[in-house]
Amino acid sequence: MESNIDKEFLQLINENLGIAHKIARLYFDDATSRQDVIQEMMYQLWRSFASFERRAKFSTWMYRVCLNTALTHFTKSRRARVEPLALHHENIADTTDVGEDNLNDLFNAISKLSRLNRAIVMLYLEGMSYEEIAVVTGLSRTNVSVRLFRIRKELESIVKEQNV
Amino acid sequence: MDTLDEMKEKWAKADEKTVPYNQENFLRLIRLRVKKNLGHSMNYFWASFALQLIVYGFYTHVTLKYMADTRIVMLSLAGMLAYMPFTYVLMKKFKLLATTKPIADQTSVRDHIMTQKKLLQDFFRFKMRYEWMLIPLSSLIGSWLVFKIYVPGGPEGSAIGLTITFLVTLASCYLAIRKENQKAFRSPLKEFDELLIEFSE
Repeated sequence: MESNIDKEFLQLINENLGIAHKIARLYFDDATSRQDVIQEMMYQLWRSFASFERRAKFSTWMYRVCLNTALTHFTKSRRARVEPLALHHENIADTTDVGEDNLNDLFNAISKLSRLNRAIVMLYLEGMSYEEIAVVTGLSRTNVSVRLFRIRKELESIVKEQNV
Repeated sequence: MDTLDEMKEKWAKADEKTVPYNQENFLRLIRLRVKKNLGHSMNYFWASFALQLIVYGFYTHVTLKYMADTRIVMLSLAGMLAYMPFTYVLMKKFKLLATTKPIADQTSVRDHIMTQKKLLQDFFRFKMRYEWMLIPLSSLIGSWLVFKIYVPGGPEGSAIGLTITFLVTLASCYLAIRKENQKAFRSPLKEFDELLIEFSE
């Protein structure tokens, strides 16, 4: 193994580190699993960096690798599928200000979507175009557009429920 | 009410609380990960390899000790020969599964899931074939040899005992394998299928 990490790679990772954290937060309920999957994402990014052809932005590539890792890591870790109690405990501990409260509501709402829809909405919120989302996920552009329409409706109803 | 566009503003704020990596801690993370991933693979490898060694060890011992008895030697050799190609292919396929390649630049999420599923499924299919063919065969040979060598009257004189021993051996293997297959193969494959179904909905 190399004794040094490529400086450019490290800089790009640090600039886009939020991507890994956001994906981990959306797919894993507890802190230990999140930490574990973030480490695995970093490892996969480091291993795959040589194949990064710079045809797309680094952040798009990083999303792709991190999502691939999270979705297949999910199958390995066999976490309990829905643990609303754990999620609520986490919320209570985290909600120290209004901003964080809003953010938790947002993450909780997105977490209720299916795994694929979570990925799609995350890429959309990141500012990617329908074409870019289609390329990252492997869906058609039309499918992305139809799904986002449905996701919008689903999220609105989840948020409405949260506010009751 | 929140819309996706309003959510974008909140989403951007989720980036703020990350601690950056430096050379030292990133390198430590990579070393830890290499060790962990290698450990997972090696656990399965050694468990499987140890079983193969026990089988070969048993047949070799019996062959050498009972050289004069043609039936015993033939059965032991048959047992060994039946295992050899499977050991080779099992190790080769396991290597393919354990040493996964880095994620290629243009691999979409769907392609990645399909590739991972195919790798696991191929290995599992082979493992199932191997188990269906070899476990009953080796249980039968093993039980027969034990009765031939250690039980007065041999297999011919204790047909019921031999049948019971064979069935108990088979049932024990079945239970152990079923648990392992469920945990390491069936559950992950089910999750891959569920994910792929989401893509086709």
